[in-house]
Amino acid sequence: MADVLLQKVRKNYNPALLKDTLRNINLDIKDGDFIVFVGPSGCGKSTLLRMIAGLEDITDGDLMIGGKRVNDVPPSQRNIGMVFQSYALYPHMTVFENMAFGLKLKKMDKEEIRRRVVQAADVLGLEAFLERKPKALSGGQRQRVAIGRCIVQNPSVFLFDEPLSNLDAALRVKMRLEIAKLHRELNATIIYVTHDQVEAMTLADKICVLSPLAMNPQTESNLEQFGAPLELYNHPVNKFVAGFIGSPKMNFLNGVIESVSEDKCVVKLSEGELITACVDARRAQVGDKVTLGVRPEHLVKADSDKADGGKITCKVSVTENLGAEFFVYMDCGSSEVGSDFTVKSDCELDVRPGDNMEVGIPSTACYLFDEEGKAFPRTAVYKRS
Amino acid sequence: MAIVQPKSLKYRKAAAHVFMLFFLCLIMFPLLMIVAISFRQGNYSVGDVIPKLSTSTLDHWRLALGFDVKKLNRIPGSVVNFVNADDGKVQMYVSTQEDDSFRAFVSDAFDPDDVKKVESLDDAVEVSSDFNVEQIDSEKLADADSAFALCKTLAHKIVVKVGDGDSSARYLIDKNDKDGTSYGIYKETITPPPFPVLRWLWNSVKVAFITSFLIICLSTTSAYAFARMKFAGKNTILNGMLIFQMFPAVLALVAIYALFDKIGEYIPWLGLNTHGGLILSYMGGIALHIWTIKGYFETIDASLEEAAAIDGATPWQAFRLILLPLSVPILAVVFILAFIATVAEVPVASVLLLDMDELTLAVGAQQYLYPQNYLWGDFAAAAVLSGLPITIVFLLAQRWLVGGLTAGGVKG
Ligand SMILES: Nc1ncnc2c1ncn2[C@@H]1O[C@H](COP(=O)(O)OP(=O)(O)OP(=O)(O)O)[C@@H](O)[C@H]1O
Ligand SMILES: [Mg+2]
Repeated sequence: MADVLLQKVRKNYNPALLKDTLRNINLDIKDGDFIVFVGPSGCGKSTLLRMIAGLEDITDGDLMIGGKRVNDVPPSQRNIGMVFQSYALYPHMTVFENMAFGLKLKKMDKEEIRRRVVQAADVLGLEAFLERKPKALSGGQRQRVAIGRCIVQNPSVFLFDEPLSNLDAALRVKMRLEIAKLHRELNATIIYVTHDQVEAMTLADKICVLSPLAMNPQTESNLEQFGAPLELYNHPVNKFVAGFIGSPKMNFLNGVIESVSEDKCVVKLSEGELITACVDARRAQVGDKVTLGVRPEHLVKADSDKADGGKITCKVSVTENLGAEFFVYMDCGSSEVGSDFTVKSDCELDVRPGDNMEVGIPSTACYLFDEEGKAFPRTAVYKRS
Repeated sequence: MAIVQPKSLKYRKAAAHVFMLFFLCLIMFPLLMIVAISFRQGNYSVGDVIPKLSTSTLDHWRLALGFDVKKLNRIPGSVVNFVNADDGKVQMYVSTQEDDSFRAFVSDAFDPDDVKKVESLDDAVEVSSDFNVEQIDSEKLADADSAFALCKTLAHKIVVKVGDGDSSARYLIDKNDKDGTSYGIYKETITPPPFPVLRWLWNSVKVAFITSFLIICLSTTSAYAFARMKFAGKNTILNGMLIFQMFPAVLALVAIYALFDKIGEYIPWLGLNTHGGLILSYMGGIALHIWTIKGYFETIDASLEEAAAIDGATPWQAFRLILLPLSVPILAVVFILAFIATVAEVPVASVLLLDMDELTLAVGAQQYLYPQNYLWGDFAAAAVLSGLPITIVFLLAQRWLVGGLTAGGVKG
């Protein structure tokens, strides 16, 4: 198995016409890690994965797999396996032939091929389908064949590009668990691209958040943050990561700093409310413009004793009752487009669209970002219950 | 059809069917015509569409397939007499007048009972011998009537062979009418096939097969390059090829002739009057095939080849083991198209090929149509024959024309 190291990697599809797609990507992926790439559509997740696979050339920088620089090594010699966003099974071959294809090319002994394929099929529950063509398989089964085709090659790095995106919810959960199990069994390095927050949070040892360079062409790098899932959740380095990790999205409120102390900071919101946040904002001045962030699931009732940070009052525009969860979308006036403030509650709230609702903000649940979007260090982490 | 349709659609559907049938007939009519002409007697372009069985003939086909055609021509001004010989035998006296030269001969004496029933010239009993006019025994001739009466009862044709070897000729003596009141003499004329049609057919098939095969090889590989690789000037080349292909090859005949004349000086088997040269010239017409195959390749998800690359396949292996097997239907189509085009091609072949034996059928068949004499019947037979290899190739290729080969490979 192998480490994967990316140093100052840059990608530009067509330097004459286009801006960079990826810039200054530095990643140190340890052997056996499960890494998840997340980011909005078009930010270059697939591109980065394909560069690691060798399907796209690297414009600048170094890619090391297992300590060896592989920028100019063809995919077949990188000892990687890839599961494509589209499965990419060979339609004219049976499941067995699909899985055996790579081994046959390596001129491996017939018996050994059979043994490996059967073993992989056993792990993935595909024994019954070995003689079928992909056409006669369901989406989940095809998915497993694609994974099986990887496993038999025994690669040191697995690359998964949104493998579960086309499956239904139940199958997705099942496959997610299977992939987690697979990671435990194979103990291989896995790099995984997904749009699904739950997949990212549950599977990953470390999450890598990418942002589209097009949003801000000046930025040095579109690797926003690379860290453990809870680290990203609790201590996002900037507004982008804070807004991207977590579902529903974090609420942002504009304001200015009213006062700062070692572990607390008081922010005056645009509507005049004062909110106390447990952040160390000493590097900023009083009067600086800041953005206050608070996650929908951390908001509490206004009369709760947890609401020690302050309260805000907004007009409810929509409510959603999912049974297990209750969402209130509110209009706080900080943006033009309708509802910009979300509350997630475990229990049903007695509000209707049009009502004014007061919500309490725990001071430990607050995130604070400066004008550039950089986060101030938090001095406490909110605990629910 | 799952969509619910209004009632009026029924009538429109019926009308469309009628129209299609009519259209089909219109398309099929020339083919029927040509088949009919090939079975008709004589070399006329007009006549019954469906020839009557009694008047239809296989002569055109015999010629096309390389057999001699034997025909009996009535020799006017000929006389047949039978004379009684000894022992109840009969001798036959024949006098003919061909091309102003008078010939006469008499048969050996034969027993009328021995004369077998004759169905065709070939199993006729030969009762002939050479004979001089002077030898006619006028006394015996006097007795002719009784012999004639005798022979009348034979009701058989009699074949007479005159001369030996190459100069031999066969005459058929047959009754002019049912009652046998007079006899006519028919001379057998043998028409050898005027042209080596089977050889032309073989040339056509050979050239077409090799051409189609090479076209497939060339156009798949270049289509692969155009579909999958990035290189400078790709679109310019693609469009350029198409535009150049728009000029008919006929316009370049002179150039082609000169070109192959020159090539032949250095590489004789690619020069004028060789099939190699012809095939080479046909190779030039692959632009459309490249476009067709390229279009098909582009419908096959490139991730299949990327997966193969990760599995350790070289680009050639990915092409041969993944892309080609999935492209079989389009390869079959291109093969058929190239085959048909080659078999039917005339202008270039007629310029490049000079020897009678080297011609392709499409060119050769036109030899039947020299201005003084349009041999429509023979031409029709050759034309139908040239459709044969195309039909066979199509029937063979049909099993490859299947859809859904790429189903299930990629999601979405
Ligand atoms: N072959 C290409 N040529 C030029 N630009 C490309 C090419 N492939 C991708 N891009 C651009 O690179 C950017 C990143 O694409 P990429 O496919 O990596 O996005 P992604 O993060 O995987 O998105 P998604 O989540 O939708 O799959 C996009 O803006 C895309 O337009
Ligand atoms: Mg992608």
